[in-house]
Amino acid sequence: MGARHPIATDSYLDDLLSRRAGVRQTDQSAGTSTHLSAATTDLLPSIRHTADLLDRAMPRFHPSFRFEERLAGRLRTEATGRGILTTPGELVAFPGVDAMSDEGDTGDRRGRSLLVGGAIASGVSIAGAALLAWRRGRGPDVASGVSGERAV
Amino acid sequence: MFGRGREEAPQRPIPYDADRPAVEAARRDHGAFEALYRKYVAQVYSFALYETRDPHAAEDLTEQVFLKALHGLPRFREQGDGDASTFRVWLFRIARNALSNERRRVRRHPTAPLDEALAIAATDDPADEVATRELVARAWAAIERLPEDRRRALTLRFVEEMSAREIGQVMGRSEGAVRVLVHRALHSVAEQLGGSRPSRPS
Repeated sequence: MGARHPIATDSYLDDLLSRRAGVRQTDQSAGTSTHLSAATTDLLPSIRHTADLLDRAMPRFHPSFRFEERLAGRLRTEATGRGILTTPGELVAFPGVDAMSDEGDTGDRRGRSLLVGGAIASGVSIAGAALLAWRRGRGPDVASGVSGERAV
Repeated sequence: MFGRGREEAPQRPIPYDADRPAVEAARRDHGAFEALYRKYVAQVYSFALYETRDPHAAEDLTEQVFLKALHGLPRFREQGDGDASTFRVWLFRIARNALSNERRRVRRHPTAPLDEALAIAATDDPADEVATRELVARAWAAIERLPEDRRRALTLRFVEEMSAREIGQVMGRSEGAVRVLVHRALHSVAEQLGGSRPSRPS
């Protein structure tokens, strides 16, 4: 096989894929186009027709949305080591606990948020410590849940 | 290297990896890797699907690739123009290696997702559709019979729209060798189509 045919095929494919991508021909690339046309005179008609066919027959597939999101979540988990993506200065609520609200809170949940607060990120640690101090100052009914935690 | 400087089409130089800012951001903060993931997930998944012919295997492989890429990012080194290695090439090298490992572990019998492919390749013209579908099915059958390296080169060229140079970097071949692979692959498919022509020229 001579070297000319693979080169002509490659030039034609460049041209074909550029057209697919909707690349505009600028003045500069118009010169390239002329060059490609000259190169593709060596292109076998059967190769050209097959390339045109495969251009339509070989689409790119997209994974399911469910898979894509699941893997995105897995990567976030791996990226942070804890499954919660943070940026500097960002406050992140621990899942299932609204750290800024005391409504419906129980001693158990307070304890859990305190334990994890120090492990997530420094920003959350500070928020957790502030929350604890605030709750301690509210009276014995709130402090009892925390004191149980301190005993652990 | 002997292919350079001959009567070749003009090269498309890769003077700068367009992904460099995203890669650097991901190095500083692994959370920023998600941008690269979103950009390339369909490409990696498609490559895996064409190689495995199995959507579940393709998902597994895609997951492996991105996890390895995330953990291996500190080791990724962008190369210069002479031996360009972009993030995309690096990602596909990981995919190729993961695929090789998977094939060593489990010998799968591929089942071509023809229905899915045909559904997408179908035209809007009902009169044209039957002939085109038949032709596409025959093309797929011909692709199936290609040796692995030719089929892979064809997938990277048509599906991933990679240049011969990029494919060479992914496959560990010279640019000239990739051109020959693609040309021979097309020639084989054309022969098996037996002179059939697409019913509608592009």
